[in-house]
Amino acid sequence: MIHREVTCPVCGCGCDDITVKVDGGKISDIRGACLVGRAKFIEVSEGGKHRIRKPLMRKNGNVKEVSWDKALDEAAEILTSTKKPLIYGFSENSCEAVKIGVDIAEEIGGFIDSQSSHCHGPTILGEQMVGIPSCTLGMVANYADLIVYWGANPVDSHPRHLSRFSVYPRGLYRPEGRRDRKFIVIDTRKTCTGKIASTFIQVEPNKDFELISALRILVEGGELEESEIAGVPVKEIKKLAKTLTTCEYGVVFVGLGLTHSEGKWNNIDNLLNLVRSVNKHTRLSVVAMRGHYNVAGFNEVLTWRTGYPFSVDFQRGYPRYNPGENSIIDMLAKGEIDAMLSISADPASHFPKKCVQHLAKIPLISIELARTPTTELSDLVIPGVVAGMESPASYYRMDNVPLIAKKFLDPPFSQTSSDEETLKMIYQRILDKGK
Amino acid sequence: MIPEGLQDYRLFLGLDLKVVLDTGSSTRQGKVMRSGGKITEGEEYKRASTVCYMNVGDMSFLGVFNGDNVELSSEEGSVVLSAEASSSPAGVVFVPKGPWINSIISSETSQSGSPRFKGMTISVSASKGKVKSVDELIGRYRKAVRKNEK
Repeated sequence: MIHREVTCPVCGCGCDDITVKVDGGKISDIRGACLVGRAKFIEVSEGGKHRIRKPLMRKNGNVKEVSWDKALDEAAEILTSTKKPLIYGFSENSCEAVKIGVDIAEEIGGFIDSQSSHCHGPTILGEQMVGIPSCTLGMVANYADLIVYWGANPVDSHPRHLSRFSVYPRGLYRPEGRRDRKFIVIDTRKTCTGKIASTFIQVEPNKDFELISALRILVEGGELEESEIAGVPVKEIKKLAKTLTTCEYGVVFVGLGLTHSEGKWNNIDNLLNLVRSVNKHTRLSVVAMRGHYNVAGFNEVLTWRTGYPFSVDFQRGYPRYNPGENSIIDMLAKGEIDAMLSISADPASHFPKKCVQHLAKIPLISIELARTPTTELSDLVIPGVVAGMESPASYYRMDNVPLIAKKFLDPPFSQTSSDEETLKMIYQRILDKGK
Repeated sequence: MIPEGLQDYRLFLGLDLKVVLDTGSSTRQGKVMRSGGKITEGEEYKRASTVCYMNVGDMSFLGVFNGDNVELSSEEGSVVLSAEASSSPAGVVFVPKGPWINSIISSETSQSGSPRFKGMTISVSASKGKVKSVDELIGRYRKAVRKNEK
């Protein structure tokens, strides 16, 4: 059977134009997916050769298979018997699963956070200070004649971004596609994206703030006395300022190069102020290059449930928001968390050593598709379901456009139909304990 | 490979280089991550995540060639990776994200919630050490806990 307009549940592009041929519960052909997306489709199509199919529990250093009931009971017990439990992940789950995650965090009086706090968390902090003139990716494809990637390398991180949304598509007002656009990359090294850009500007590491400030001065009509700023000749900065102010419609895609280096949210704050200045002359928008396919959805759901986009604390019975204090990295590094439920996140691979050392000390529950460094440290492992492939899902693309992903395969087990259902079963057990 | 005697000489001199670390995604590492083979295809995950992409001049200074091992050190610790020449500017190294490089990343977030995955200053030197497997790397955390529990 051929399934058209299937969604790829991998990166923030959320490509929904994939064609998949399924024969006897296995994918026999995939059309339109990138190399990374293809890896995920193949993993699932092969019946998942790496998939975890039964819950696993670690006791006295030994790992053994346990029943679903036993695993879900144990998960509820861990989360209700500790004082500072944290629910973390959700960036590759549906919005419906996030909603249940918030219910659990509220019920147990714990914390909830996602990958967004240590990826584009600083971008959100910058947006909260200045505001963001944004747009949809459809507008980029149809209107934009200037594309700027700042601290982003989509060729490696979002392989179809250039061809589907930004540089190459032939849009309504850009019928010649690539030839109708200027394509600029600003980064600390010449990445694969930098190599194909029409203009590559190499900024010194940790000096983005200085370059943005210089551009702001020029756009506001000021002059620069130095001959070089942040490793970039002033002549080149003037040319960039002119390009920004004379384009018909430009879009700046912001990557982790700005949020993970020195300055963090100050870089974003400064950039958004630059965009405000440029918008006195023309029209410029900003879009964050969100990494996971529903990391934006986590922020959306958490905001409409609690008023805050990430790092929410329910310890006092009502939601509190204090990034830098209640963010997962800070709390783990300070050893403040005493139990954690991680869902589709693998923090042991992506956190600094000090955080992983603490993860290894506390009761850790992970809901994962396959074995990862996190499952190797977990006390309890519950098999996960691929949202958007094995269960339907609503999710938000990187431009905050909500989309629906269809199911086209069954999970390799019958005990649950989705991660949302797994979380509901844990939530019900937590409610039963409170009675 | 670098002639044995020359590498010993470099190691004897203890040459190291202060560089700025940039970590991030690579397609190869992303492919292994998404396929679910981080543990079950640990060798492929290791090959994709333990490459230190360096400037050719920096490699020449340290006396290392493609495939030679280098040790990256920060205040958090050190990790051995495999060097590879790239278009990185002098003084900048790129390493794909993963548990290897994260073992030397500082957890300090400057009250932002986000650690310095990019822009940390570290030292790089030639090394005769071995690149650890993902099992060895994660096993180290478990061993540390058991030692503390005793």
